[in-house]
Amino acid sequence: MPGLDVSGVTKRFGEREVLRGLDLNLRPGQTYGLLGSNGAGKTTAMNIITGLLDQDEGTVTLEGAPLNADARAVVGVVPQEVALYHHLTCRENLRFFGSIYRLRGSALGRRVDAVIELCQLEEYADTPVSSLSGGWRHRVNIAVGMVHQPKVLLLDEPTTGQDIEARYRLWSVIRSLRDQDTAVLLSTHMMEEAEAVCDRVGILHRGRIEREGTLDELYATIPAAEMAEVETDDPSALERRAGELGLGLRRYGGKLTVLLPERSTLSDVVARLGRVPIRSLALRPVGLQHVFFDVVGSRV
Amino acid sequence: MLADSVVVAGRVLEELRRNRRLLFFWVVFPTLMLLLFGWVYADGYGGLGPSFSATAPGILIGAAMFFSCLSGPVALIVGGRERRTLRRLMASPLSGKSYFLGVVWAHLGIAAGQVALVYGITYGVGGSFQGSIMLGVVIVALSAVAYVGLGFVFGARLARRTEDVTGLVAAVGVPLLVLGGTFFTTDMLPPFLYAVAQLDPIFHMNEAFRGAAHGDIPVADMAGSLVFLALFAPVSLVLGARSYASMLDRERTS
Repeated sequence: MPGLDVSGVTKRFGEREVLRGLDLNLRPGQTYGLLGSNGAGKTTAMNIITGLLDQDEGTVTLEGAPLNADARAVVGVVPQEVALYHHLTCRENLRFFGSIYRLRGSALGRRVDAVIELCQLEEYADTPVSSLSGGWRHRVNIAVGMVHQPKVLLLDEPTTGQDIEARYRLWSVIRSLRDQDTAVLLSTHMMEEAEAVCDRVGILHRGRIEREGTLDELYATIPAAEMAEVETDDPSALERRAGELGLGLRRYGGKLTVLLPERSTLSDVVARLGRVPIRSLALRPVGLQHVFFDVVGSRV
Repeated sequence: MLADSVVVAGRVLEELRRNRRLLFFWVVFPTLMLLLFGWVYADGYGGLGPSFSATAPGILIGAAMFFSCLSGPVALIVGGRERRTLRRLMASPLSGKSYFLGVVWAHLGIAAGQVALVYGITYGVGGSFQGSIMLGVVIVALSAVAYVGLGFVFGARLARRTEDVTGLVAAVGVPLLVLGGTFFTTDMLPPFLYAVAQLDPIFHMNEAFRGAAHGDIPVADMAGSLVFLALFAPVSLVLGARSYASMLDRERTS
């Protein structure tokens, strides 16, 4: 099925190569998470896909055709920062951006009403953006990207700085776009966000997708059924004991974690670790954060 | 492109309508200037009516339109850059040309509003516009276009932040206003300054519109200023468009 295809995209800023042969495919109705830490190249990738930056090498195509100005009419963009006209109301912003995406007359009115409802903006629809709180402005910022019912929606870290309620609301909106066959490319550094809404996730590291797949496929790349996060005053004892038991030991985000080949109970893990002084122990399912740290390299 | 530019013009005007503070200043400034200078020169002209008739052209072209049609585009560009709306527009199907044209349309509309304001007051105190209305409309339109072009040059090349706008307008614009004879007739200028003023586009805008408003001045007497303005307006527009296009390129690669 045709969609958005990014193939072999390379981008250099002077001597610095920010993207090194980025490949990415996005199909209708799919939500793709572009996951990476700060400086991984996410924003550069998003800027190239939106046409704000030219790539040095590679191609970006939508339904087989280059992503030129005309093709951009079916792409929605939600930038990381709120980019709105502050003296205009939410509805006026939506009407303006809808108009420049070639919506006119009653079709424009219907879409503005629909997106106000979808993003639950009814209460503040006729309030100037300058009078809204940061969270509401973010919500309008997102609504503007969807007003023309794009086939592809590009969201650049859309929930950065938002409270948990706003995040959950946006995730619900993104999930609802699946039913409309909208392809969503979500750039994020939040594992929880990627796990909540994405069908596929690509982990961007040093300018290229280092690992990609569905969430289950990514979890399967970690050789464990469960993870035991151990807090200990004697890490070397834990390392020795894990070695004796033939268990993997890794550090994920500062936490020493034993990779358990089968699901276990806390008492079973405590018994297996024997004399290792344990301050705290938690059993967790394999998550995206484990895959992420596995890719970016954070082993013991 | 035309339809898109009309959408942009509508947005600029709607934003101005909602920006009550700016609208207030754009009304108060020319009103106070007109009232003050009309009053100051009343004895010399033999009454308020003739004084306002003589003062209105300079106040309209040199004061009202200068601040709206020149600093307006500067503020739009700088504000668009700071609030990231320009980048959002760059990622949309809207072309830079449509945006540019939309800003020009909007400021022609604003200029029309200021004509109504300045001449509304002038007629209110017994003054009038005595010359060819058609010629007056052409001069106002050319002046607005020239200002918008310059506004794009300043906004795209010189003003990086909002606070730069005031400084830029004060440092570059106000001396040009004074030299251009906005607040007094240019026959008061000493010969050297009069010669320098020939290079000031505001001088020619004022001279041309004063001539058109007076009614008794033959077109040949203001032909020099009319020709200057007719050449300067398109040149300014082209320079503004090119400055804006190169700014968009810079934004794209930043």
